[in-house]
Amino acid sequence: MRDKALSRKLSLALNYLVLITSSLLVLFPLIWIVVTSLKGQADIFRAPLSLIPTKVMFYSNLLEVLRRAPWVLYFRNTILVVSVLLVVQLVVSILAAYA
Amino acid sequence: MVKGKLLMKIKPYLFIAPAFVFLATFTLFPILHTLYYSFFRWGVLSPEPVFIGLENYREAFASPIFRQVWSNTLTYSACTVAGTVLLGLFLAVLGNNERLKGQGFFRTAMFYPHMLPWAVAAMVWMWMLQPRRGLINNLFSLRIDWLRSADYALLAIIVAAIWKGVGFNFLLFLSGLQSVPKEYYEAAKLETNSWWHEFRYITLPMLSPTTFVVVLLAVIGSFQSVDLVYIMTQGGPANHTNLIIHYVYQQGIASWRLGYGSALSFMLFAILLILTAVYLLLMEKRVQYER
Repeated sequence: MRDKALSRKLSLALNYLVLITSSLLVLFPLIWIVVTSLKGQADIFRAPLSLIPTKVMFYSNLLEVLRRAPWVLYFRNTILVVSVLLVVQLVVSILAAYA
Repeated sequence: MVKGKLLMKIKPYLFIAPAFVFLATFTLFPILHTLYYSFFRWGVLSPEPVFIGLENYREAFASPIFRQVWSNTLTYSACTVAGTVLLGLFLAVLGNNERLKGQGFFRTAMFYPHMLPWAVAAMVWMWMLQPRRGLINNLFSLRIDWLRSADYALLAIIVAAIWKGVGFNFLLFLSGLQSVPKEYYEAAKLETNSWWHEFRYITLPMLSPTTFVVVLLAVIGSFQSVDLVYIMTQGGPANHTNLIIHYVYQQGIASWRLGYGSALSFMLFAILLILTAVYLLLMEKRVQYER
């Protein structure tokens, strides 16, 4: 009986191990991009890559992004496309499904 | 009275009409139009379409690039479908365990790549695969120029595609698993102790409707993928990562050979149609819907 409880615990631990490892593997590109977005030019090209930026440049990077492209326009376009698409799609497919 | 009967008869067609009009103008008509122009030479050198019969198809089959492109597409498709479906199933079976804490974390971590646009995923991976400053080369002390190497470029794209696709299948499998009644497993506990028997004789059969849809979507999606290739390699080096949709784009739009491009797209359409039809016919009978 104790043997069974032990093997149940062991399999749960193995379960956790596999899931956590694969989650971290999948998450890593995102973490890396977030970290890089906080770095300045010098940090990005520094020889041993590091997860911790020496100087957090979040604000200036964000400002540069906003300055370089008309984001408000882009977002307005996206919202327009999505809302028209959604309404037309819903109407058409609900009618078709009802028939 | 007669009028009411007539109305009842045409009512379903009225409801289906908007969808049908859409399908006809934006799907059926373009397909036939493509088929028609695939028999013409039409492009920069011959601005007016000239009828040449099956010449476009003959040219495609004689072209070594066309064969290379199909071999790339089949490799990519087989690897991404196998990778995303098997990994998704494996992780979903592990994740479907009520003793497990932090289910939400695992689901979010697996699924988020699906919510990223393909273009963003491509940029992220390009940055990580960058030969000098990229994360992967630095992490493993390699000096490989992944996206410009004939041996590794397709592999790199396949890995990125699996990373992007596995979460979607994971989630579908997980929801499929959660609708399997627990009594079956409890009953099985009396008979056997082997997880393999449980998996083989309960999980797999009960999951078959989910698997059916997941594989179908994965195959169709893999044949249609173009974004990663377009952004990361443009089909290079020397067509080693050129997938069929990207080749159609290169020939039909970028080189403006509309006739040849039409022939290529029609062939892709026919192959996908046959593939889907065969799959539906073969698998429909083996899927167990009744619970």
